[in-house]
Amino acid sequence: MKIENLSFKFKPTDDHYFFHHLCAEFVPNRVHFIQGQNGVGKSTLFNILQGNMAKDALLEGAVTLDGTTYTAHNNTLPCAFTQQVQTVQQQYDRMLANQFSFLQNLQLANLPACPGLHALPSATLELIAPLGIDLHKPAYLLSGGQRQLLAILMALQKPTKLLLLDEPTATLDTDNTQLVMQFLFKLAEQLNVTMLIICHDKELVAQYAQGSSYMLRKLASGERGLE
Amino acid sequence: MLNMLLVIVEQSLLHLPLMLGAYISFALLKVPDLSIESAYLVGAIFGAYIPLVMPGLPVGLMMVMVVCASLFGGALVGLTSSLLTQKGNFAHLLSCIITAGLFHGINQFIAPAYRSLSGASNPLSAIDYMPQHPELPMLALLGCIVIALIYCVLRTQIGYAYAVYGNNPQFFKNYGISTAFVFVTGIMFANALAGVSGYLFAQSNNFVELNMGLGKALLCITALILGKAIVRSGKPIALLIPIVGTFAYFTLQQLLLKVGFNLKYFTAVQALLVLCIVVYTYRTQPQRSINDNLGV
Repeated sequence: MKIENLSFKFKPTDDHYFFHHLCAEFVPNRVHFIQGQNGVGKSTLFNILQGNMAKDALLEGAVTLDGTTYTAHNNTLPCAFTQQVQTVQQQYDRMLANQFSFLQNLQLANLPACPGLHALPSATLELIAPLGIDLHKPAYLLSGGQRQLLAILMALQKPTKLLLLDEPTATLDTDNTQLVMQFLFKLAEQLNVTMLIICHDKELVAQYAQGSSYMLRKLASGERGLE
Repeated sequence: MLNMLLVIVEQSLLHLPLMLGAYISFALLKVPDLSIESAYLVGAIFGAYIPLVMPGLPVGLMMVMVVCASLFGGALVGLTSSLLTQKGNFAHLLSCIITAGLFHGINQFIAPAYRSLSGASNPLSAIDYMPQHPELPMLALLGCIVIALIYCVLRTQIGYAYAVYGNNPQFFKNYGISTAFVFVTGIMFANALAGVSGYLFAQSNNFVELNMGLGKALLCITALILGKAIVRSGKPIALLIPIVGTFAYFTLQQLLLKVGFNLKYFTAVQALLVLCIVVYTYRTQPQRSINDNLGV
């Protein structure tokens, strides 16, 4: 996945670009970490990739995913690209229905496409089986880590090539953090999904990044650069 | 004893659509939908209007017409309160209060404070198999249709969406479903059902009175809490709760009547009953909220 010469302004009248000719290349189907201080633009980058753009923003440049290049048009990335991008928010609880079971929540993620609750594909069930989670337990009785796994799996119920995760382990203890991280690496490999993770935990990045860590910085010119 | 049982069944069937509507708004959507009180009255006024203006209709068609009119009346109230909440960004309780005020004025304009229906034809007594309770067969038929309808609706995409809304109103943002659509249709549906109950009650008692909706929200909450306490289902959608709750409510009411209790104090009994169950549930399961435990 490549970001090519991405330039962004919140308003066309702004003196400086927020991102100016931003370039980055991410190895496909791997987990990548993005670090940076608060306010440096990590969430803005995620919003651009999701297509969540304010009407008066200015966006130029292109993104290449799975061999296809998508050029920004009308100040946003095209739907053909954003439809392949899913997000797991930092407040993953917003994605869950508490009284419904783990299994039902996964079925609910398919609700827009189905007239009711339908059986899950066997591939999804095979992914969940090794986790040892009671699939009929209501979501409110699951641990934080299990709820995070559920939110990730729910996001992946749609066809996904790029998964964006905003601090997925920020509220988890060490054991649950390990559980989630190992599951993410497994998912990236098995489902052929490229993952970008915003993370502030330097130790976690050092443990898992394997050279796929990027730092978003504010440059002297006021623009942001990804190193 | 048999007569008391028949009265309980009759009263339960009269209130069943209201209770199923309240189940959708209070227990599934988990919103304090006081507009069911206005919907109950407006449904009664609209429904009772049909036999007065079209007295010559065949009974079957008359029944369909009055049910449609009362559904429309209730849904109109639901549409008003839910749009105020969604588009006006009011808290739903405030929307309900404003809606109640609006419809109180409209009702004063279109209907007298008390209207007798004794002169008009009664489509409820069309299936006349029980001389002592002539309306019971039609009420039973209507009850079965309403239960079947709600059962089917709650197993569709929109039915599950109502239950999901009560769990997490922000859920739909991630899945491309309009939260406003779920909320508005849910409240309209609930209020339309309340409207049908309003008509059934008015027709059964042969009058429409402008204060007949008062206290219906407390009745619904009491019955739902009783139903939840008896059924004890962990499922997110359990239609048995409003059905059993309604039956339990009117059984309790009739038993109190049987022992000579003055029904003018029954509202206080309802409130105390709700309070006792809530306190008991908190003491036994302090980790869960009223919403999780009692569905309201």
